[in-house]
Amino acid sequence: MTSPAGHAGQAAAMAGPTGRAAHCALGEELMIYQVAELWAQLDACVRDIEATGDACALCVDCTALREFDAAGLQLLLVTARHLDSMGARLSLLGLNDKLREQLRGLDPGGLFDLQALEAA
Amino acid sequence: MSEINLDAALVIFFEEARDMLAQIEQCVLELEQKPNDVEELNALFRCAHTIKGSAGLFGLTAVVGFTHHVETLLDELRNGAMQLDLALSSLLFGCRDHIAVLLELARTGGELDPADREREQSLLGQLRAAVSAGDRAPEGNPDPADAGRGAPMQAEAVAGRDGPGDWQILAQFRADTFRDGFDPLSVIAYLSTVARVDRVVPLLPAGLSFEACDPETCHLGFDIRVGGEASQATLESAFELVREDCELTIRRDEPVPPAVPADDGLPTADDRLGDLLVRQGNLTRDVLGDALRAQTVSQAPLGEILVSANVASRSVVEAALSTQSKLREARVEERSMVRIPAEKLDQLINLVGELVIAGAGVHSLAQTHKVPALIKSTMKVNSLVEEVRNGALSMRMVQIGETFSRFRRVVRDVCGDLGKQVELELLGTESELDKSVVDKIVDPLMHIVRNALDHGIERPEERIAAGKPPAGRLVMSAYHDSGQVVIQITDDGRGLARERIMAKAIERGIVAPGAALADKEILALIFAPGFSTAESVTSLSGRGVGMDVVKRNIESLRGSVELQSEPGKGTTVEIRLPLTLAIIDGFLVRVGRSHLVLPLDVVAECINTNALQAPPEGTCTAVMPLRGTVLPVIFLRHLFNLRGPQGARQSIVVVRSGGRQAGIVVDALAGEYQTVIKPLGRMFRQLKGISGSTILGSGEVALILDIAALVALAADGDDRAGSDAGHPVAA
Repeated sequence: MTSPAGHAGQAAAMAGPTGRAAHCALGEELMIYQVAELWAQLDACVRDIEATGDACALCVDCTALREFDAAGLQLLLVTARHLDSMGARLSLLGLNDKLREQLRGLDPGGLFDLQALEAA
Repeated sequence: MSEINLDAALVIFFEEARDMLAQIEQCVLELEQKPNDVEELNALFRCAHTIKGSAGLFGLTAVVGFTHHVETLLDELRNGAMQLDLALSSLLFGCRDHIAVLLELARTGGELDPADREREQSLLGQLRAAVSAGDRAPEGNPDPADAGRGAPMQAEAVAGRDGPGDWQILAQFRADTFRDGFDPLSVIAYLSTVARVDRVVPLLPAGLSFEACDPETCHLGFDIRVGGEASQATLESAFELVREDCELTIRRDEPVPPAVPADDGLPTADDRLGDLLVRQGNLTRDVLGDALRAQTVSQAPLGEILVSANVASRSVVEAALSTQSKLREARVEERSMVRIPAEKLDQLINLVGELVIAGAGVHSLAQTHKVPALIKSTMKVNSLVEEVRNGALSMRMVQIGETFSRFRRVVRDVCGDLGKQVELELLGTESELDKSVVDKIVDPLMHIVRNALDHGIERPEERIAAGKPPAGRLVMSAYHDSGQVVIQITDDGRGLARERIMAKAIERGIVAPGAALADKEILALIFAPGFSTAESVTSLSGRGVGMDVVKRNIESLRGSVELQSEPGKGTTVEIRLPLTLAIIDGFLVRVGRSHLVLPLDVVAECINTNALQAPPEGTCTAVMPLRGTVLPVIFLRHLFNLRGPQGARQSIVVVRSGGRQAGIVVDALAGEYQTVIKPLGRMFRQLKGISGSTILGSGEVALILDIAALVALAADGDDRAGSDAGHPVAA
């Protein structure tokens, strides 16, 4: 394992509305060690969406993601619910099969869009 | 949190981590015997999890990073993806030791040296290899029981069983769950290995906003539906790891729609029954209000009212009551233990010691001035002080079992290195002694045990040839005897070879060639400095710097060590230690102008006599008849050359030590006396028969007698004069 800090996504670099979707990317892990940093990055994306008012989705690139824990799930749920209240969606892109099935089982309300990366 | 508090918390973390490491060792040892013991596996996982989680709080990334990999392996074991074998347990021991190194470096601010770094890489490689082997294992093992393992939760969750299960589990995790290193998803994954999880719904408080969300604080709850045959106990056991971090409600699935969590989450220990039922979604606030209004009239228990009104089933009410009770019990349990730094206890005991001395001083003054009311008051105060003293001392008493348990790992590792088989038996583990004694006895015990394994117990082939079972037996036992704790380490090995001991002692110049020594004296030679009979120096023992240091360390604790050995049958090392190094119940006596103290526990009886003859000039021991037996006696006046007037009558204090009796001849008995032990100065430490000193209420110093040494001296005869036996005297 690399150091916990090394797993945070590169959301800051990639964040920002692009057309009608904001983007950010996750690293290999979405766990307690990364959630604080990622929350700040997602918060920036959400503010951008609020500010521009024209983005209908926050697209999170999960191609590198290999593992998440309950702290990661909580962050995704809170973000998705918040976006939902704004009329936007949280799209998780490029999830591997294992994680996609796992998240699908934990999202009976359908808050997440679980899409392949190409769909972005 | 202030910096000071953080420092204090870090100290506590290191202490707790040390306990966890000890527990990891014991768990792995247990699992080697019972690889399928789920409880042990859970306990092992919990320890690693706690270390990782707590280390994360303090930013100890090296500990977190390494322990994370260990935890992954343990998770695989827990999920049944692999089973513990000798190689895995050795790997886990290695990881445990490396975590200890990382923690120590974190504590001292050091860095891994190259050897430890190489070791870490090697361990990580082994961990990864083991985990990936575990992941591959189910493919080659079509056992239907393994279906769904590895990624159990998603397999169950996507199985499409949307219908209600037979149980509903509501689990609300506490705010610090993530910070404590617990991952609720792991728990749910584990749950699905023991029960059929039909549906998992994460619950978030409705009022939790994205902006206000602290992502490291756990707000999550889960509504889990479980079907199939699982019992409530099975479901509860799945949450055992997070019992303290989770408010759990398990109930039969009722045709009540899944509860929408209230803004304030799931049940807490403060909830009353009605609140609990509302939080669980079994009751609405309106219905509860009606029931409470009815209760003001009928005064019946709320549960009864709800059941009789058909607004809740009896089972639901009982489940809620059970949850309420458990939550409250858990809270009481949390508050029932207090961790106190040892130095604070030491300080308390020192102060109590001073209080005892000061109390004795006041009592002495009261007696001198013959003020009855004051004498009565000081007696009352002294009685209370004695209770305080006992309470303070009892706080520092620990069971020796914890210390003994460490040797299970030692025996395992040493036997592995030496190719020997040894069964370790621990007896009397509940025996208590002062923590300060326990801390200092570990090293001597370690050396004795390693000696027994290295030199005492034979290899399997040698044992079979000698008509013994291939596995040797090592017994560590402890018991209380006459105010002391006796620790015995007994092996059934080859025993000590007298001729080799003598030959080596002559070679080293410890005894003169041709010297005739008694058997006991020959055995005692192994305690001589620099003595070693090992054919070769091993990493375990045989460096010749061991047993003399062992003896010195034990004697520095006011203890003694003895050997018994039978060729071909084994050796027993017996250590006798005082229960405490601080304060004892003493028995004050006077010889001439000097006061002396005996530990009260060793006193069997006192005999007054005026027919005792002094021993011959130059000796201090004698023997006398006592109810048909011969009692060796020792005259303190002669032993210590004590001066002062001697009365016509003398007293003999009969004492017991090590299964032997002896009489100590004194001039007068002053009675019981609370004795605060003060160490002897360096000059006086070699004094035979004296183990310490104390200060009397008058300010006078009294010496504390070393009864084991005096009994040995009396029983073995007067060695001051070089004779072998005492001289008979009339009683």
